[in-house]
Amino acid sequence: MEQFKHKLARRVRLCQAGAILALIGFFVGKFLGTPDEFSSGFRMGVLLGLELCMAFLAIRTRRALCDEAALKELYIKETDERNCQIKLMVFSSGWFLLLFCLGLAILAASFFNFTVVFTLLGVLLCMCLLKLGCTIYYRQKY
Amino acid sequence: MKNQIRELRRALRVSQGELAARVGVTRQTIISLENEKYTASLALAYKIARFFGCRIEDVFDFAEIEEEFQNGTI
Repeated sequence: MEQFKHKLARRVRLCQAGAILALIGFFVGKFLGTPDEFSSGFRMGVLLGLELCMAFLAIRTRRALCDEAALKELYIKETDERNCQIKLMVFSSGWFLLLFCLGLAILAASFFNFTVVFTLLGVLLCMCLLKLGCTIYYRQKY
Repeated sequence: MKNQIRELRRALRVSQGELAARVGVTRQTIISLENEKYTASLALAYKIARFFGCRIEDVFDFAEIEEEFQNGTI
C-alpha cells in the first residue's frame, strides 16, 4: 500500500504540473493568438479541457490520499485483476480496429487531399513502430 | 470455471462486497466469478480458498481440466 501511496503522490504532482502547463499554454495562446479563429478556438478548448481534467484528477487523487477508506477503494479498483484483464483485451483488440479504420481513412482521403493522406500515413507508421517497441519491451520483460 | 463460491459464501453469511473487500477485488469480480464468467488467477483463487478455510480444489471445480489432462487434449 505504501508503494501505491507513492504512486498516487507522483500522480498528483504530474497532474499539478500538467495543469500549470495547460494554464500557461492557455494564456500564452490567448494573448499571442493566431489570425485563424477556428484553430485558436480549438487550441483554447483543448487546453482548457486538459486543465479541467488534470485538476479533477489531482483533487480526486489527493482526496484518496487523505482518507484510508477511499485509498483502499481506489487501490482495489485499480488493481482488480478482472478490470486489468478487460483493459488489456480492449487495448489489444481496439488497436487492430484502430489500424483498420486508419487504413480506411487513408484510402478515403486519397480521393481528396494528399496532405491528409501523408499525415495519416505518418500517424499509422508511428502507431506501428510504437506497437513494435512495446511488443519487444514486454517480451524482454516477461 | 465452475466453483462453489456462492454456496460457501451463503453458508458463512457473507455478502459479495465483504468477500470482495477481504480478498482485494471489486464486487463485480466476485459476481463474475459466481456466474462462472471469469476465471480467477492463482493468487486470487488462493485468497478465496483461504478466506473460506478450504483448499483451492474444494472451491473451484477442476474436473474439466483434469479430463483434458488425462486425455492429453489442450
